[in-house]
Amino acid sequence: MAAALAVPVAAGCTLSGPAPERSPVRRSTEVDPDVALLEEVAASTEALVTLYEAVVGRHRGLRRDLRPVLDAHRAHAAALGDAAPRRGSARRRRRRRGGQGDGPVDVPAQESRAVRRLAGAERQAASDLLDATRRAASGAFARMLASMSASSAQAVRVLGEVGGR
Amino acid sequence: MSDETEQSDQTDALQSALAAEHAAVYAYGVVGGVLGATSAPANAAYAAHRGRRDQLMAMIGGEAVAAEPAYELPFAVPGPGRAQQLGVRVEQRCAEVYADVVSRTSGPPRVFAARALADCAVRGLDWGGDFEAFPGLRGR
Repeated sequence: MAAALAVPVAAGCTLSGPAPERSPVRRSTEVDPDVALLEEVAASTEALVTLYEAVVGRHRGLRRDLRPVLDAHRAHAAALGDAAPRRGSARRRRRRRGGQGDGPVDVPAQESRAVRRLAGAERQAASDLLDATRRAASGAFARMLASMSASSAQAVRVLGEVGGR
Repeated sequence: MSDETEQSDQTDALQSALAAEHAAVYAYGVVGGVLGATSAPANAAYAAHRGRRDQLMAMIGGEAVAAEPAYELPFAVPGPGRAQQLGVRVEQRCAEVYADVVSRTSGPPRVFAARALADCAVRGLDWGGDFEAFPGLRGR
């Protein structure tokens, strides 16, 4: 089983092996089977962050309730960025080609509909991350993806409470 | 890692999850005893952990670890508040164990563990636990 990716979940905390910048082995998409998966997950995570930012930008009253979830997704994006072979490379590449998450996001005018849209996005994220967990070659990377999926499952519950008020 | 070693590690990981589920079933017996037989959350949690326990026993087969006669709880549970806290603690512990199982397995056992991790995370929230960016990875 490959375990090449370093998977930090917080600053200074690495789940498997040395951090990329300390490794004597230069990582690339050719040698690490999880890099393509990581970039796929990073793109989806950044799109989710963009959606939350657009929703709290339009509905200021939701800002406080959504803050923990938005912060969690930002932490996911940071952890994925730290795990990438060249820090920030995926984000830069997506920016150059105008990738997912860069365009304007259409946010429903009604607050409750905006929350429902977030809940739908979280359900999809939980499902996609579960599939990514199954596909990951590295056990440590799979663990991080499974945890992110669980966080999205929690977010669905949080959004249910926010939408029910 | 050889296929044989990998298989052995996978079985060890599932055994640790089974041991955690045995303890969870015991703990929810205590929680249900305090909250009462009509407590829907306690009954649902008890049933969920019994279900995972039975699935793990089927996956492991004849070598499955047995439950201990009794377990030492992390704190006394004299009333509903402590019972809810015990629910949070049980779900956090099981989430950590399942996160570890995810890292040590592949294929259907890994998916099983990932689903169980998410269930534990949501149930912990329902008991009053915190929303987390990385459920199951506490302390890592």
